[in-house]
Amino acid sequence: MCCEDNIFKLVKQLIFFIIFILIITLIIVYINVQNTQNQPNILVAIARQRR
Amino acid sequence: MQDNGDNTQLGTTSIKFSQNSIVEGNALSHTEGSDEIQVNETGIYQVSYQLYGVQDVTGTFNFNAILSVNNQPLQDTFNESPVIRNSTSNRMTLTSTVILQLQAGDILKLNGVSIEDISYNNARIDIEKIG
Repeated sequence: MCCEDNIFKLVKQLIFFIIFILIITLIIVYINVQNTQNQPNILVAIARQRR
Repeated sequence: MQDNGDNTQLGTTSIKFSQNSIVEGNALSHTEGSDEIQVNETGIYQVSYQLYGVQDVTGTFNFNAILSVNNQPLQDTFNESPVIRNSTSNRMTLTSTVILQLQAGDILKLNGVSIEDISYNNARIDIEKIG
């Protein structure tokens, strides 16, 4: 009974840890996507007369 | 005086740009010396340009500017200069700003259009992806 309780607790902690890591990963991916979308896209091209 | 500019074709021609002074992001690309501006991302683009046309011979002075996408002229971007008859020497800069919906893979060009011997000595195009 004692050992089963410990195993159960360990499994519960492991599941919480995995969910925590998943949330952190999603936050990091979301921030990277936002940074990419906010990047300016600009082109200025010039033609000249050379003499 | 020998004209060795980026654009030596008179009258009707697409405008070549020899210099990219600002390039940010990946949505637009251009090879220096080319008349083609490559659109790499679908979206809304604000396009501003200046086209400087000169005629140094006696005649009728008139030229127009138009944008084209994939070699198809966008008629509602047609920009006309005044028609000046018996002109001995004249010059003008045509300017415009338009907002276009463009697709990834589109090729954008600025074109000068004229039946007169107009030379395009200077030009610039400023493009920003706004949506």
